Amino acid sequence: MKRRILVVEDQEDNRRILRDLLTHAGFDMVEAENGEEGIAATVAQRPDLILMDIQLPVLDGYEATRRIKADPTLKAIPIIVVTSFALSGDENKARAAGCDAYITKPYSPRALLAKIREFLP
Amino acid sequence: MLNQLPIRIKVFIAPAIIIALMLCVMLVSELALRRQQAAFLQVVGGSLTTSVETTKLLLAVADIQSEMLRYTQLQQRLPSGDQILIDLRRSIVSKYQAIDSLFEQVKSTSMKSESDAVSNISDFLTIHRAVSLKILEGEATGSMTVSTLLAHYQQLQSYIVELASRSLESAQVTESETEKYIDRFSYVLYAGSAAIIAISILLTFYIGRAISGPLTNMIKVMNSIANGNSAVSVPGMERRDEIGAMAKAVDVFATVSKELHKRELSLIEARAMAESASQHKSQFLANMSHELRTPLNAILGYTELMSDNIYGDISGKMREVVDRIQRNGKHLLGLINDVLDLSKIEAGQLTLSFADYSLKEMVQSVFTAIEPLASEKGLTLKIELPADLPRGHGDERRLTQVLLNLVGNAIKFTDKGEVVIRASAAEGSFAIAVRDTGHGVAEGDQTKIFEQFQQADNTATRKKGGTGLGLSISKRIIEMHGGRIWVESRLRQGSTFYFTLPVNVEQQVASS
Repeated sequence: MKRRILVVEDQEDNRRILRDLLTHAGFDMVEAENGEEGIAATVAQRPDLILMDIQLPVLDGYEATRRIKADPTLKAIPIIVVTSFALSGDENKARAAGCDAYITKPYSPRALLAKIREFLP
Repeated sequence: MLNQLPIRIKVFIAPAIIIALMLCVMLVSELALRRQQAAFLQVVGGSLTTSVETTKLLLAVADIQSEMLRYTQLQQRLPSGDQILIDLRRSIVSKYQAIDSLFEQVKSTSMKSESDAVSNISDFLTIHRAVSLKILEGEATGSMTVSTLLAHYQQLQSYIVELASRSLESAQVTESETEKYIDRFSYVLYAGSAAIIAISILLTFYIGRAISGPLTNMIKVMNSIANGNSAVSVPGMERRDEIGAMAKAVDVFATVSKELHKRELSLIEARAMAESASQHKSQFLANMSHELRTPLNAILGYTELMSDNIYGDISGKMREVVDRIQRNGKHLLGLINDVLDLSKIEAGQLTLSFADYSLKEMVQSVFTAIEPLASEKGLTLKIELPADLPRGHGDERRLTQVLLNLVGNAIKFTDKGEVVIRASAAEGSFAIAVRDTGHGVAEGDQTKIFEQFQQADNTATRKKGGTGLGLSISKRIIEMHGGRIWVESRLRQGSTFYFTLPVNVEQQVASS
């Protein structure tokens, strides 16, 4: 059975790249465009892993991560937070929100895939 | 009125008034003493003398009386021509003369109120003498005469005693009056002294206040000016004393201070504006770089997927173009990142976040990241590390950025040979060296390369790629850690880039 990855990302191009990458790598990918949709998709789809962008409309990635991790039925799902290189202090905030790993933008698709495989071998 | 006097005069007023009051008391005391003296003299030279003289008179009269009695007794037994009688007669007559002078004394010292007593004494003295003389001259004899003399004597004696007792009484009255007067005087003296003390205290207080009041006001005004209250007006400018002079000086000070305050405000405003402009500028740069990076990341992402054959196998010629797109895209990304870093440094907004790190791990991670580049160019990349390095404390990410930059440059500018990363620790400092066998940096360029947009040889740069900002950023990062960065190089023989930094940055900063 294919592993399911939820991508919470508001940029169409980034979603397309991830879709091509992850589908090619044999994953099932579901998408959400903001933090609120991300939480709803997590509840509805029960993904095996979440890729969470930080700068999101409606509800940002920190808050979405915090809420998912606060829910005992969801907190086992690993979350990789995508932080921006431009804003210092993002990593600390991401860790504080309870993420399992983080990757700094701009990332190489190869490196991201390697990070995902740490959680879903 | 007093308020307008100069301070130098005010300070004299209190002592002057106190001295005047003391002089008044002395004058009153003098008058009282004089009166006391008069009373004393009145008693000693008057009543008391009268009393003493009267007593003497009494004794003298008693003496004559006893001699007269003796004479009357001897007269019956002796002939009238007897020598004893003659002597006795003479003695009695002379004693009467003495009594006369005594009586004159009494009369002169006695008071007017005693004049009736004195005239009684005078009358009876005359009668007594007349009877005595009759007896002495033999005109009167017998017991009848003697008893008459005795009666007169007794009368005279009683008058003299009365005068003496009245004189004594009058002396006593004067004495008790004097005593009362002294009592009253000392009461006045005490009350006067108390009043002087009270007046002195009040006066000193009042004058002190008259001096300190305007000064206190002035201090308040000066404090208010010092606190930046420029609307305050200086009181007492119209005065002609020291306070007036001071007020004029303070007014000048206030005017200057107002001007300074105004200038300070405009400076603060200008600085706030400059700060907000700088804030806007760096916010703009941050937004801009994010906006620039988003599409660039997409380009790089698609390119990588293409070269990984995710969209199908690509031909050799196409792969070459895709690689070129990727290289140029990465260069552009590097430029954007460097410009952002530099603008943050310029705006003073690059803050280091300190944490513990392992220099060994840092060197190894840089080695892992760069090694593929080195082997691609056929270069040897080596690490020389001592067995034990202390754990460092600093901004690991920024220090890694510096090391990546130096090692990346070394690979970039070296065509054959090796690049060696060496690290050591001594005396609380790390020393890191990156040595290459590249074409070196000319002596004249060795400081220039750490400046912005400066590379030793522009043609080399264009060929090698690079922003020209890396070393400048590295230099700022190392300096923010309290360290130093420099290069030692000879053309065509290679370069060694060095940097040193405190093992524990925060400790170093705290102790210096």
